[in-house]
Parts: sequence; structure tokens; C-alpha cells
Amino acid sequence: MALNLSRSALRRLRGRHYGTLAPVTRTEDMKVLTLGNKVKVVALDNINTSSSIGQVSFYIKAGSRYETPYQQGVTHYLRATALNHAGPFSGFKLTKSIDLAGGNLSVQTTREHTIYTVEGPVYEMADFTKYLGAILTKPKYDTWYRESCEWRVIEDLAKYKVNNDQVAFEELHRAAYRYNLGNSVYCPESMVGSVNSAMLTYFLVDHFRGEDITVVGSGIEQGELEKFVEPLETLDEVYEEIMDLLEDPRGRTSFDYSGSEYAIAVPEREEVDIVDMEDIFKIPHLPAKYYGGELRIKNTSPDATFIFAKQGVSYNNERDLLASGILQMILGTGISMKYGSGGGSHKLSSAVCQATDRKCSATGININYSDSGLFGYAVRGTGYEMRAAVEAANKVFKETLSDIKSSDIEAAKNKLKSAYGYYAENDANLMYEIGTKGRALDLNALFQSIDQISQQDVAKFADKVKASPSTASSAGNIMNTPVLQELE
Amino acid sequence: MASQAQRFKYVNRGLSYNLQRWMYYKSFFPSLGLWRDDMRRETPILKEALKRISRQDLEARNFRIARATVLYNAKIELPREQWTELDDDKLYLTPHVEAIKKELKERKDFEKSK
Repeated sequence: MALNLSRSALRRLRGRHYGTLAPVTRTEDMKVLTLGNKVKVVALDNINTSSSIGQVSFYIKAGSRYETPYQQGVTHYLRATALNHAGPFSGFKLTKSIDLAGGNLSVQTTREHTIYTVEGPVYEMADFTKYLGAILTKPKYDTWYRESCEWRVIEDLAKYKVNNDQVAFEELHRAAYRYNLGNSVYCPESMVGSVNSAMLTYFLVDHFRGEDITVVGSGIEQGELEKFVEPLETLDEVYEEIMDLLEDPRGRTSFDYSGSEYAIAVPEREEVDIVDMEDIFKIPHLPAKYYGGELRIKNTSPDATFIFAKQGVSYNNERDLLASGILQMILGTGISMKYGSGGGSHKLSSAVCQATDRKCSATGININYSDSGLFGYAVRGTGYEMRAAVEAANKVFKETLSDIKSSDIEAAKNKLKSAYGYYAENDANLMYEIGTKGRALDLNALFQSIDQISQQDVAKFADKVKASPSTASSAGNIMNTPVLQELE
Repeated sequence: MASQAQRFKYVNRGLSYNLQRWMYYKSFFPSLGLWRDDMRRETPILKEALKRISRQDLEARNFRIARATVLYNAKIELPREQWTELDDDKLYLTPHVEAIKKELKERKDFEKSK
């Protein structure tokens, strides 16, 4: 369950999502089939069978947490080069044929998944899935195709740096989990020109395997979807061009730029004292470890964003997940009335608005990944008022964690139910749930579980949160934002 | 010319290969140390292909062309041992040229069909 702050982090990547016109069944009618190439396929039958728009999404467990430390920025480049020369189709043919047929192809990356979505009229889905299959299994990453896509990376980065919320969000993860989940979805500045085709192909071979891919289709029948996805041969099986690269270990680390590109001699690997390479390759597969710390980024905007978090809970742990949701709703999630001010029943928001005369606002955040999470609050506002705002928010946070009233819990349960209800209204979210978690979002069962959460559960979760080390990140006009140690 | 005074040696690799080799040494450029792809005319398509080959290939090509220019101006040839052999002569530009031509043709067909 993601709050607005982290939801914008999901949506920032390309994707005008027109979605499906017909509603999607919400629960059990869904069958997950595993094909011969280990790809999981789910086709959702529409209630309204006369719908004319279908959508096929490939959810691949190849988000930015799977980048090794030398390979950072690979997922951003994957997003940028998605529509560029794949297999037998050139980039021109791909874009033009999808456009002319009335379709829409988009790529999104979250920390855990890469999502390729193609939408279009139902009778075109055969061709579209073929194009998508070519992009996934036969991409070409030669320099001249890649360099013509670099402008996308640079444009994304320019838009990202100006947005304090996103900068603070990414830096929060970097401070909290240094390696896996700390990897930002955006390419770091230092890697902008140096992501080369060896890195991209190795990332695909390692992480775009059959067992990592889940295909979710709506507006298309199960049998047809299987027919298109079955012949896909994933890269780790059939990519002959890089087989000789695989035998050369230096190609995987890409420290050695082979003689044809650079005229200077590069020392042999045995001559140089390098840290054991094998450890770096294990990092993406390790579970996320929470460290904690602080990162501050100053830039010349007039506003600032400060995010404070402690270790939270993963979305696989359902009781704690709902307890954390309730606690988040007690803290408050911004202002719920349009053009409202002051925060009303949201504790954080009203405290911060009072302390700074409505120049700042605050919200509770609750971020969940498959094996870890973050729980805390975020404050944003004009730079000069940040100190008062952050101190007020911190006070409310500490008070709420130690003293939970049952009246608050009842109100929070209703807010949580309505938040889940709004989330489930959007078909894109439902498909996202199926594709990333493997099971559909069942609202009725969820509401029953929410009713069963007691005050002891929430108090236990609050104690766990209090005991964990803290993380903080701030971005923007941070001259008057307190340092993490001042808040402890 | 010195090249034509020598006897042609028939290698045991089939008739078409020997025919190709005979025609190859009838042309003048192997005696200057050039390869077939060095003899292409300078067109915009070739300029784009030159951006796609590796640095090693590009520098070797420049060296060969410069050496051949010097030799031609001085009206001398390389000694027979240094002529390019048919086996050493690799077509490094042709695949790129074909790919570029295909891309241009795709664009042109699309414009025409509109």
C-alpha cells in the first residue's frame, strides 16, 4: 500500500496509461499458468465482453535493486532504449507500426520490477505481443542505437533533479539500504555516458530469465496469450552473440575496455589488486539489509522536503502491513479536503500547519517492498520554516508511537479501508498487484482482516518501529532543516 | 607490370575460389596494400558506416589509405610479400552499409506509402 508520495515515485516513469475500458474481475477467477519457458501467464476475463481495448503487461523481476554496484543506471538505460532496434524490427518500424495501429507501448521501472506494457485494440494484440517479445528477447545494444537514446536519460535526470520530493525519496532509500534497495531508479550522474552494451546485455541475461517474468493480459483470452508467449525464448537460453562474452569474465565486469576502443594498454586482471569480484555479483540476490543514516542534497529551489523513516514492514507480512497502515492513517496523510488547510483530523498535518502558519505540510509514509519497508513521515514547505515544521512533526510522531488511543484506531481503520478502496478502483493497480505479488487484491478479505487488527497489534508494531535506527533525507533549500541527530 | 609477370598458383580450394583470387590479383589495389572495403566511394552512407566500426578497424583503414596514397604518388608498389592476400582481406564495412541502406529504404517506403 503506497502513499501519494511513493506512488508518484512509481508513476514518474514513462507511461501514459489509458488502461482498459472494461472493469476487471477482482478475485479468484484468475488462473496462473506456468509455461514451458517458465514464464507465468495470467489472463483476466473482462466482465464486459464487448470491450475493445486489451492490455498485455510483462512484469519482470529486474528492478533497480538488482543492479550490481558497478552496473548502476542500467535500468534507466533499459527504459530509454526500449523502443530501439529489437530483433528483426528496427526502432522506426516498431514505433510507427504500434502508433499507426492505435497502440501504446510503455516501460516503467520500480525498485523491484521492470514493467513493459502494451495496450491497443484487441485484434492487434497478436502483433503487439510479438513486438514486445522481440524487445525482451532480441534487443540490440550497439553503440549507435544506444547513443541516439541518451537524450531520454538526460531529460529524465533534468526533470528529476528539480523535483525535491523525488530526490529526497531516492536519497532516503540510499541512506536506509545502501546496496540493493538503495539503488535509485534514475541513472547516477557519473554513469550517464558510460553505460555500455556489455552491461546491458549482462543485466538482461542475469535477470530477464523465464522464472522472473509474469505476463498479465486483459481483454485477451488465456489461450491466445499463451500462444503468443510460449515461443518466446528468453535471453539466458538463446543469445548466441554473447556466449563468447560469457566465457570471458572481464566482459562481465566491464572494467577492461578491450583494445579496439581504447589505444592505451589496460593491465591484465591478475596484475591489478582488485577486491574479490564474486562478492559484487552476489549483492543483488541478497535480502535487503536496513542500515540507516542521513543524506542531504542542496539545490537552489525555494522549497525543501525532509523525510524521516525507521524500519517498516514488507508487504508479505499481512498483519504487520495492516497495522502499519493503521498507524500511518493515525499520523495522517496530508489534507483530504480540496483547498482545505490546517489538516483537520490528520495529526501530523495539523501540527505542522499550526507551527508554521500553513507554510508547510506533512504526511506519514509507509513504503513496503517484498522483504523490507520504511515507515515514517515527510515534511515539505518553504525553506525557512522547515525547522519549526520538522520539530513539530517529530514531536507528533514520537507521541503517536508511544501512546495509541483506540478511538484513533477506529477512525484510522475506516480511512485505511477507503484508501484501499480508492486504490482498487484503478485497473492498472489491480494488474500491478497480480503481476508483482502473484495474487489478486481481494478487497473483502482485506476489509475483514482490517477489522480484526487490535490495539495490541498496532502497539507492538509501534514498539518495533521505535526500536529501529533512523534514516533521514532532505532535499532543496535545506539551510534551516535540522540534522538527523538533532531530532533524536 | 611486375604483378602480371608472375605465374598464377592454383590452390586446392575449388574453382570459384581460384577464379576470385585470379581476378583479385588482376586488380591493382592489392599491390598497394589496400582491402576491398577501402576502395569504396565516399558517400553519406559510407560516412555513417565509418561511425559504426571499431576504432581499430578505422585506424587501420586510415593507415592503409595513407600508405597507398604515398606509394601511388611515388609510382611504386609494395614488394610481393606485403600485398594483401584474399584471406586477409575482410569486408568490415559491407554489413554496416547494407544495414544503413535497409534503414533508409524503410523510411523512404513509409514516406511513399503515406
